Amino acid sequence: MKPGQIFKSIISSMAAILVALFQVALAQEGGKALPPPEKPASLMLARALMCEGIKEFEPHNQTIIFPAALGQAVCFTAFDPVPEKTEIYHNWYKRDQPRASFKLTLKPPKWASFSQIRLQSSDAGPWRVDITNANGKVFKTLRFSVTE
Amino acid sequence: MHKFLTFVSSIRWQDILDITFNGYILFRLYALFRGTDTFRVLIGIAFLWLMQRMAVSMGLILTSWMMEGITAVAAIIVIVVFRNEIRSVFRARNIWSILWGLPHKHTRTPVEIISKSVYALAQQRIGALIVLPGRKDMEEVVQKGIPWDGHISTQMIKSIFWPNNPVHDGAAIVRGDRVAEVSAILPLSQRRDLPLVYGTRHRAAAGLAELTDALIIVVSEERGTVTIAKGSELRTIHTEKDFKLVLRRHLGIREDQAGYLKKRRIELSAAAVSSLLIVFLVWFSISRGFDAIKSFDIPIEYANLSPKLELLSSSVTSVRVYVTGSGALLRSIRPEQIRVRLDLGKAVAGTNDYAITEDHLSIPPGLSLKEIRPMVVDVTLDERIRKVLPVQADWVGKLPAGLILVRARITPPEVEVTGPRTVLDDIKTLYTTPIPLNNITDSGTTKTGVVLPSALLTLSPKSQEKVEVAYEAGRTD
Repeated sequence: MKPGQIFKSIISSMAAILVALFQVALAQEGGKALPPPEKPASLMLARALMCEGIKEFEPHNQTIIFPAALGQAVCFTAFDPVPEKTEIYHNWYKRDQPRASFKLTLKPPKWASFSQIRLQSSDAGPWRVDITNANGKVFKTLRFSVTE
Repeated sequence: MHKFLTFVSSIRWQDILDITFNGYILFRLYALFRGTDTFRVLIGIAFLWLMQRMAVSMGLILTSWMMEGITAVAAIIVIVVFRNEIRSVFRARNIWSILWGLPHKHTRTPVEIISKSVYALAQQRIGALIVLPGRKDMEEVVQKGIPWDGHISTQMIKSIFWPNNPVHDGAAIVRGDRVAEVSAILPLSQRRDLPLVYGTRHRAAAGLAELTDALIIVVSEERGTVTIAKGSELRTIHTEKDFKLVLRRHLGIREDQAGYLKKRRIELSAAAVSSLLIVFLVWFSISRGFDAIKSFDIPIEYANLSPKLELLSSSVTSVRVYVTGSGALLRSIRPEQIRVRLDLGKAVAGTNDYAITEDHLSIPPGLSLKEIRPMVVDVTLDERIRKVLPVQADWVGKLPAGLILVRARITPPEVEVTGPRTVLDDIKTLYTTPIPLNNITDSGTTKTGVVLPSALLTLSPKSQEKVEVAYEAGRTD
């Protein structure tokens, strides 16, 4: 190693030590340690309802009775906050028998989504929709009836 | 020999008790009614019954029907016609003498005194009429006299029939050592073959003798003779010795008392053995004769099921039981008399196999099990659990135009039910009875019941049978 190079490396090492010491001093000057990073807020179901349709991104005619002649039933859900991109499910049951399942993707910071089924007169009876996460945790159960 | 030994070994203690008990009843009937008309008619009825059974076995349908009818009618007639005789057998006897004691004639009647009195009356030409009853009841034929109840003595008999005595007309009835009644009026005989010398007293004696087994003594005041009437016979007895002999024979008093008692003992022993034999033969014909097979469909009864378990299902609900026995016995058996009972005390949740054996079966005595189909029954049990389930309204019908139901709230929102685990595992929701929408015009409440989807489920006692549904109505946009 040349004498010039040795000098440069000593200088740079000293500079690094000085920077480190400066940072420690700054920290001590504040009187406390740095706070831990904040835990992200969990997914929250803000609204869930059954309705006859969706108009302008909003549920139209909230109801629990769906005449089969109406042709469709809609399950509307709104989540706020949505901390991260995630998936939820709308599981539709007629008399405890699964009839349909929809996977819906939610994106931060908040998200509304819906699922809908076509109705026939043979669908008459009591129904429910379980709104769950990917692990099967039920956020809410919506109950309604399809009439002839 | 082998068959005989097999038969003897198959006799149960119940059979021996059965035969002995009924044999004794038959023997008692013989002892009580022996010598009466009732007994003779009963023998006749028994003979008719035997004939009827023979007619049945020979296939004589008409004869058997006729015999059966006659036997039934005869049995009723016996009770009606001989009611007094039957009553007199049981009357004046305590329960002990009916069940155990042997009837005996009154040997206390003082033959010597009667004899001496009668011949004294005859000698003095004083008319007399004395009745010594037999076993038959006389109540229907003798017009009741004046109760007397006096100890028999020569003086008393003389005084009763003394011409100036107000009670000298009519008959004196002697029971045991007492004059029971005096001035009794006897029925007159209608016979035309009686000697003309016989007057009213003789006709009365003949009349009663014809109708009963009594012995009647007549003393003629015209001729001073002593006449005895018994049955259809009227006999004048000239000597006191012969008179005593007739009296003793009627009263059952023997000179050779020891020999008489021995004969009587033999007779009763023979009757006892005959009774046992008859009952044995009847028992044999009913319980052992002509083996036949008959099948019965018997529902299975389950017992000792743990309260923690629930009977879910069984492969069969009844089994067909084939039993053997005599045709007569099998014809009289009703299915309710046979029971198949499974003890579920050791059963566990799941399927339990039970091989049905004779131990599970209860059949009337005299019958034996031939076969059971099916031999194995699968019984499925499940653990009984409680589960809290949400209740959902089951709306039906059609809402008026423009009306919608925005939401509904059920109170209580959940109910607890009890039932088999496998059934409850599949049930997530309970529904109300259908609630009609047609009549809804506005928000309101209604009470309705909860439908249990399986008969195996029951609402827990703390759960209400009805829930309240509050609904909120709105208008469509």
